[in-house]
Amino acid sequence: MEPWGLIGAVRLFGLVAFSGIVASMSIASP
Amino acid sequence: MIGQIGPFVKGDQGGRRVLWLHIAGGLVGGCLAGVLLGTTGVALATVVGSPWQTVSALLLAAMSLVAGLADLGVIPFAPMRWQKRQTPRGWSCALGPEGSAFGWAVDLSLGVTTIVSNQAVLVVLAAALLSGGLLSAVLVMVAFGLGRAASVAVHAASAGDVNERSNAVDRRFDAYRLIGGLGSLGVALLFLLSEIAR
Repeated sequence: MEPWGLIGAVRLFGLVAFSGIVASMSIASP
Repeated sequence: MIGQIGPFVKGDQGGRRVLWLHIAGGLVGGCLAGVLLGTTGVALATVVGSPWQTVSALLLAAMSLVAGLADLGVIPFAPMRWQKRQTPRGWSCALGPEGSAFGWAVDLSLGVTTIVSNQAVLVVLAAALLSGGLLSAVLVMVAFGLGRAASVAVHAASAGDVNERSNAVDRRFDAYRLIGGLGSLGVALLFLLSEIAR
């Protein structure tokens, strides 16, 4: 992946946000 | 986890301190997982060389697609279903309320040592591994560790019966899996399109 630059920043922001959202939802059990 | 931490918070076995230790555990576990995955990713990037940028982006897009389709029930393959272990309840006796609250959060924040019902977690782990940088891997995994621990802490500290609160969260499982599945497909699209645009 590209560590820096606009595309890199958008990707990293998206992944960090996605990670936090997935984590908060992963506490639920089926 | 809400049902395990909640009684400590609401009783006289640690109170709010348990919550903060649980959140600290999420931070430590996230950092640890980020450093491990990030270091491995940097080593892979060094071995593969310049094609790594494209290879890693396309790999993450492919894994996100698989995880998304699995969470949406389109394909029966669930890559994160191999782990059956749960955080040991016995830690509350061995480590006490505060030690176990911290230890459970570290354990859960690693992402691979305990059972995971949501395949979107695969995307998080793959993103940290394939990011090709230590800082980005740590940021992704710290967001995961803190998100998981803080979410448990908020529910455990909220008013009302702890078990009812835990059951209410579990009832949202299907909705959460749907959101995670759509999010994973979004990550796949983001990496595919940005790689084409690059």
